[in-house]
Amino acid sequence: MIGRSRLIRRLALAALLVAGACMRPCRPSREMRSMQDSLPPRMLWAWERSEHLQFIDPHQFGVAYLAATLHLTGDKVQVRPRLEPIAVPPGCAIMTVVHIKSDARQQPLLSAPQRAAALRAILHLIKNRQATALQIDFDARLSERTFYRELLVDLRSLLPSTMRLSMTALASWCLGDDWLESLPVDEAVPMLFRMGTDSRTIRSVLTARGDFRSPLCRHSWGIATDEPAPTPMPGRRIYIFNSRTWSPTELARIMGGTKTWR
Amino acid sequence: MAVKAKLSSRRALLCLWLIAGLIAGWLWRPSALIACGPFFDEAVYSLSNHPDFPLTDFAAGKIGVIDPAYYRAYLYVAYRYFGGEPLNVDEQAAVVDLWQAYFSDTNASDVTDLAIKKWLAARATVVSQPLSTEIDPFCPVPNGEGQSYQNCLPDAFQTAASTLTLLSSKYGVTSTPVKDWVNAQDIVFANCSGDKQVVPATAPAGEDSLLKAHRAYQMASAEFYSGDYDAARVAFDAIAKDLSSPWAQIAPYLMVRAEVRKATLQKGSDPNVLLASAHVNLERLAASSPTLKNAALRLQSYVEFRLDPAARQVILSKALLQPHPGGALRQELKDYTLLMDNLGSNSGQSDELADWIFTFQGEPADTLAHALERWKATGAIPWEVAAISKVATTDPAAPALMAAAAKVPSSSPAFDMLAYHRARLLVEAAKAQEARAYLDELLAHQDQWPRSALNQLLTLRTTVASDAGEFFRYAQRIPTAIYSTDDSLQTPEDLATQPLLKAFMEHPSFDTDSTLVINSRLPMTMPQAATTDTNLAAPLRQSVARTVWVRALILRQDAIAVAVARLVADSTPDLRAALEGYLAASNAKSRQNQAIMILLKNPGLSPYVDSGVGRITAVNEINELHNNWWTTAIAPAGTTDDSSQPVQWPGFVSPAQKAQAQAEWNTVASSDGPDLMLAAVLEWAKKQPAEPQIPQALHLAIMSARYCTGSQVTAKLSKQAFDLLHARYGKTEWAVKTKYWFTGQ
Repeated sequence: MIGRSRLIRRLALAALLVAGACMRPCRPSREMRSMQDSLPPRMLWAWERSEHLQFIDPHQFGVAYLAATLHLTGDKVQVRPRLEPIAVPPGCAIMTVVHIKSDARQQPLLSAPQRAAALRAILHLIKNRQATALQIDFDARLSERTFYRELLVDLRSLLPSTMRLSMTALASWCLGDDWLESLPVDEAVPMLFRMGTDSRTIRSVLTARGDFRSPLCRHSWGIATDEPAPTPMPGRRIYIFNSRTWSPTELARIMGGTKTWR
Repeated sequence: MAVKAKLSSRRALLCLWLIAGLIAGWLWRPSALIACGPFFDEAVYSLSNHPDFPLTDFAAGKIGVIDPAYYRAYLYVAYRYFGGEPLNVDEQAAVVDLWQAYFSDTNASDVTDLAIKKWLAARATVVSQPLSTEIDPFCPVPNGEGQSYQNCLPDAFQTAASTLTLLSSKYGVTSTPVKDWVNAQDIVFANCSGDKQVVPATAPAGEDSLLKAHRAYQMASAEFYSGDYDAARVAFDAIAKDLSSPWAQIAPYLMVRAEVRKATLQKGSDPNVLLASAHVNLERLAASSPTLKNAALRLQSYVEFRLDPAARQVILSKALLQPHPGGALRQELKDYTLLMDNLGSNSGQSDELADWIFTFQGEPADTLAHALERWKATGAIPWEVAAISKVATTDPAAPALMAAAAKVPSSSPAFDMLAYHRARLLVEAAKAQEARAYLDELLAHQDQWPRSALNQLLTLRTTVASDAGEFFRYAQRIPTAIYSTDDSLQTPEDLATQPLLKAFMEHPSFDTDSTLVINSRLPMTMPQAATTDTNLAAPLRQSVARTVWVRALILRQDAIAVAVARLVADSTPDLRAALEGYLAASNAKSRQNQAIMILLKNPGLSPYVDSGVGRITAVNEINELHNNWWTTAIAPAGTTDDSSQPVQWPGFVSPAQKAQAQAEWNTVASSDGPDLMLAAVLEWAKKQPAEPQIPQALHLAIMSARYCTGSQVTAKLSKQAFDLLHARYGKTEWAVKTKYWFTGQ
């Protein structure tokens, strides 16, 4: 017969184990985190336009290129792969970016089969590619969060353990939206541009607090070439979005001095 | 946001409670969200990268005020109109068709999907078994990291569907030849994705010549889609020579397509040699075959695009400035803007259109001199537009540009652009009176301006308002569109399915430039006066009245609070009963306590006027995204705008009013809703411990820190209130409901 105090201790231990099990998938492994450091300090986003980036220094810059847009519509997943060429110098770190969007007019069902179709499409996209990292770019409304969380969990479990999983995040999520913490990603890149009505809020909070609250948002920042950006923090990887085609002069201009807002 | 549980004092259960608390805390941590949520629809008063909807207005010459961020296909149309070369009806339809494709939900894959559906529907009439693998028309480019190409085009599926219909009517839907043909066609399309390289078997020996010809075509197509272009070329050549084949006529064209595909997709061969050969073959084909002429010319354009992009850009530029059938314009404009993207810079003087577009889009410091030079050299309106849009009022060229702009008649498509910048230069030159007069002249014809341009004029007009009344009058605007903040394409929301947004769009609202001034640059008496100004739309008067009431509470201006409370009560049904009680209070202290209760129960109350869509949750309901009350942590619309420039003081604010406004702002901007309410309730409880409302007030004040970000002292106040509630009012329902206190972080 187990004594009362021992029973309590066992229950407590069991509860801790349950809590631990619940929390496990939510924390990227140390292995993944170390991989993160292998990427260069700046990543150039290459969107759906012809990009010839052979001129970049692969020690300083990597390339995160849009590989496809998945369009969730009704019960379907329409895949629109990249049709424009992308060229990078030898040895350049490459990240595959998949943009997922919901049809505004024909709302997606966000069902398990639709999630499975999206998963298949993403895995198909990264097959036989050189990229060692994957970034998912999506806009999750409240009602869509479960879908995206489960998609990321599935994805993480099926990706090679060496492949880094990144996601973009609205900056407001990074200020303290707990749902980020439950996502099995190695980083969430706060998008510090095109923030709309959030802009002033984000800038002010970031200025006041010095950093984002969410740990996942403390690895990198996303900025754009045509908007003032925050003063870079030491050790923070910067993803740079350019609404035009990248060119050596454009890159030199940006590196020469981006307008900052703090 | 940390949550502290009320713990049992029984030591034996301490451990379990602690663990349970940890788990609960982990699983259910109240979020420290900020006021602005991640998925808002944003009201846009002036669109920045495309014209107002409907786009047909722009295509027809209602150009308005264009922005350098406009996509180049819009700027091309503006250039045509500015240069006196309006688009004909066909051209207008063509450019609108191209523009529509920029927006979500109307992409090229839709057309392909429809074609695939059509094929699958036709296939289902013959074969009941679905395909084992879905048709994927896109194939990765060999050795091309990340790039795909559309291997199977919509025409392929449509042609297959039509052929099946013909064969079914000749041989019968259930016949073996038709089933064989479908099976072979499945193999053909299995090559589309690039995952397989498979070719149907040759036709059985006994089949008739028509079926053999169809099979030969299927085999050639499969070679083509599988990427074996040499084999495809040989196969199509054989078909071309078989004059009995229904595919003989089109086969020569397909031979050239195989040549072009090989040039663009296969490494190892010199693409320019292959493209040059294809170009010659296409010229020959266009000259010899009337039925293939158009297709050959289209493919020839593509080859030229690849062969010599710079030369092609110049050719297209010249073509685009000539009137021509709309169908041709769409592809030409698409190719032209693609070439501009690819070439990435101003290629020189030989392409005036590209020169103008790149100059107009460039930074003023880099491009103004060139724009002025071209304007002086040509006197052309497009260059005048480019120059005036970049010039600062201090530039020596500004007076000449303004004088030239004044001579342009209102019937000109460039009038809006030139007039807007003329007004801008007057405002920047601090010629307020002249600017007011000119802007009023322009605003007398509001209906003639596109909404985005009109709102830009109104923004200018508020900056030269002669008094607060004028300021509020011009600060109210109807948005141009509503779109999701994360949509860089600025695709307008479909309001038909969103009644709240539709209703919002029917009334004027404030843009950010106005709320920055209202919130931080006006003494409270000015917005107070606006609450009774009938020139201000009723919903805005009501919104301003609510903020003035809260602001007066923060500033302890009892008289103003009482004065506006009546207006708020009359206009806000959810607050009416509570405000009647507030107004009936016998003295200021009692009113203050009633006011705190009203604040506690209405998280939509704030001292800040909202811009755009704002907070659409009911005033007495908690907003799930923490847009409740107010907090210093979320930067009350105040001292800086998006470009980090200080908000300008309006000219009509006197030095004394400025000092008053600054003092008020200093107090309001340092106030946090939860702190103010917690402190007030604690003070109230200290003075009137027996007041029956105190337990509820304590509960609500503690909870406010859960739903709104507080300050460094929030946790201390919240804990104090929690302890007091449980110590003094522990048996009340409010104490039972209050299990935690909150840090407000």
